[in-house]
Amino acid sequence: MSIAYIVRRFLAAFGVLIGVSLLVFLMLQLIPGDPVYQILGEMATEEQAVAMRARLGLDQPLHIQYFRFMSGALRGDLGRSIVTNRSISDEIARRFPLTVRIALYAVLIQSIIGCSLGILASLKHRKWPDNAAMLGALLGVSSPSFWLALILMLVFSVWLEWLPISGYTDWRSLVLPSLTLGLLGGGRIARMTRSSMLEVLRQDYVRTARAKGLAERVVVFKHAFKNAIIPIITLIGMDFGSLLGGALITETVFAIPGVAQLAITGISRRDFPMVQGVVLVMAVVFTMTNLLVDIVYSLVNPRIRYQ
Amino acid sequence: MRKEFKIFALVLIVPIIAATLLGCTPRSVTQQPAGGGHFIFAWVSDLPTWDPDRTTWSELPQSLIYDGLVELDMDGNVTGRLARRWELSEDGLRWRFFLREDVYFHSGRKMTADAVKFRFDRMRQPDGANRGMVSSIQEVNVIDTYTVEFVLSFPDPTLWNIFGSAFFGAIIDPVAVAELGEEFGAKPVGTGPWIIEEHVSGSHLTLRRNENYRWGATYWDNQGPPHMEKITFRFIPDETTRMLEIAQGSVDYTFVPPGETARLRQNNRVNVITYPGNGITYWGFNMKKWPWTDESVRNAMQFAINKEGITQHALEGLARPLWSALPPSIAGFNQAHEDELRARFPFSPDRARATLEAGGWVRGTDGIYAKDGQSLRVSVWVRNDPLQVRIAEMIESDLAAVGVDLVIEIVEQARITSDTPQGLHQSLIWQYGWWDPIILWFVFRDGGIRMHHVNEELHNLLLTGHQTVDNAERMQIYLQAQRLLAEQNPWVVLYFPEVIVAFSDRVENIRINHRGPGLIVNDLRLTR
Repeated sequence: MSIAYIVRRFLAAFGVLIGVSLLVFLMLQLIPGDPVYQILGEMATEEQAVAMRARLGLDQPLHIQYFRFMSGALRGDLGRSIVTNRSISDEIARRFPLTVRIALYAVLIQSIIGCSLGILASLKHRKWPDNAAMLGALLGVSSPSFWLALILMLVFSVWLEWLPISGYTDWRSLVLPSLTLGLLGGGRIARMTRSSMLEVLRQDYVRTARAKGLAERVVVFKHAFKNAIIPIITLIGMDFGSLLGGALITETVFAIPGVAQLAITGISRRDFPMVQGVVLVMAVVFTMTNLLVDIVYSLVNPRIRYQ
Repeated sequence: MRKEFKIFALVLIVPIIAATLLGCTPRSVTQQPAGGGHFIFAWVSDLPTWDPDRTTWSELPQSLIYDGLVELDMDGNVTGRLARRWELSEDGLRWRFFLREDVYFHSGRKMTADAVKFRFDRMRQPDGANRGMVSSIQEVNVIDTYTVEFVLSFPDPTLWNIFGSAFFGAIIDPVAVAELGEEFGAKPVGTGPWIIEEHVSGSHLTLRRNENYRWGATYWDNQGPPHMEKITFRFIPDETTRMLEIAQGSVDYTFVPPGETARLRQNNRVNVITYPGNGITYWGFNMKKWPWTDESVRNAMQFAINKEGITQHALEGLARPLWSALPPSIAGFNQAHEDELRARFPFSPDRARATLEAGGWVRGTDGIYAKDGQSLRVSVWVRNDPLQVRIAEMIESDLAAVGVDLVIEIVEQARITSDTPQGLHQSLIWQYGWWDPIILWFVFRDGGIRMHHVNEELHNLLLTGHQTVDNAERMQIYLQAQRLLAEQNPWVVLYFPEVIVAFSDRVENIRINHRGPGLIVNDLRLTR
């Protein structure tokens, strides 16, 4: 039963990926701007342009370009950057860990902050800790990431001089980017945890648990939180995906050479294959994360399997 | 305190006295790398390649690992670098270079005339990105090991800019190119003062000094190995972050946007330096399109725009208004011509309106001029850059005052470069920069790709300028071309910028050659 569910999920994910690859491929064909003149410069002659177009395969019919693109991608070969001539797969592979690390730390930070604030708020419902926590969460949800990034930079790097302002040298460089994303995401998680917990705390089995004379700690964490966590897992899973993309701004502000930066440079230089490669990899990771969340979900909540 | 000062003074004075005494052979003083240290540049973005035949883009990090044959000094004179001396034939068609005999590539191989021939043959290959710059070169001949001759199809004074560019005119190691193929762009081998130690794409580039370097341009203070041991270019795309880094003293150099200049000047850890940029910014008309086909509209625009307002407010005084087609930093700029244009086209909304009315335009009830049932509503393309947009907005408000409705379209830079050659725009705000008046040829030949201003007289004049070796004669031709442009007005020239850079206070001997390579890195020293 559970195997069938997982297989069904896999097939759905596969369909999504085919769709995404098609979109990614077509997207760049539709954006104005000729990459050939971007590479050769404006002083290029028409014959140079034709030669370059042929070299890049841009003179081929669309379906052939797509076929080449996909057959390469499936073999893990995303081609070479038309600007730097470096292997795109290598470049992504080298930079991806950094983006993933920031996303992971951010998820960790936001889960810890979000869950604790949420639980606190739900237990002190309508009292000042609830209000304070929700105010903080609201701030987190509504702050623009570049603004928060600059504030953190000012406090921790410029005034306290604890951390480097920007660039990547070691783990210290990742603290502020992760914190930025974690604080922003924490707000969302806190609000979700709070409402989910409030719902669960009202249930009969929680009252039963309390009536049995269980310690409040056990009631909250073993009985209530375990059930409240299901929608939160979905949220965290989705967040992990969007954090990979949300790194766009933090990677720029903190000058972190991650994969999001690669996409931005690719776009500004009209580096077709580079942008396609990055977006495709992002899409795969996003889809896979969601798949993973679905599977974890079914493990945490056995009821899901029978739907 | 006093003692420290004395030692400091001694450290300063001794080399000066030594240099003076040794006068004719200052090189012996600088042969030993003095000082040291690690200089950090905050750079905007990473570079795509170090292969001079694969990109038309050149920035400082690319030119540091190479040398050109010559270099243009602070006054624009040609001075030696890899070439000791040169001879031009009477007709200007044969250029012979006599190379230094003591130059080695980073690979340890010797630099000879064969390498020079190899590079310029490679540059002229069909896939050479910059072959258009050397179209005049017919063949390159090796005369002997250290003598090379260029045979030209027409006399081409602009070649000095190529031979004088350490990147576009770089002499590269032929053996390394053969071994590495397309990988050469990532693992370049040149003869320059710096060697790539580490390049982490998107993150940083670290260069270490070439300890064997002895062949710096003759006008540099230091022709030997650089004073500093290492330099790193950190790629920091965000402007605010770069400003925080320089203010904090964690980097030694960065570009500064005009809006940040005043604040940085107050920081005593930072030295802000400005120098004239070699570009101009203009509002160009697509001459193939209405309403620019109407001369009165083009002329009226010359009076309508408050250039002082733009430079004072949008650029906070860090640019100067310009009327000529060439800025003061490019040879061919003529002050008398500039003054004359300034008097001929003052900022005057009244005269702008009068010019339109003389051209048959009638102001409608909506305050906008119209003719033949068409209101004077024009669109302008401007790239997505806050400064450019601000300039467009100031033009918009100036034009509103004279009954012209300007519609600002913010478009991606890539769209401008790809779609304006096809004439899809009505007008645009754009800039150009170069070291030589040849830029006018690139901008206006066959009408040009931005303004589509097809004019045979102008085209021929610029072609003649391209092929005239005699400098005085050549400058006269560019003056004529500028006069012609001021008659035809396919644009409104707006301003030329000043480049603003900031150094940390530990950097000394900052020399900037804005006619040549920009910052002379070899001469920089760190005090701590």
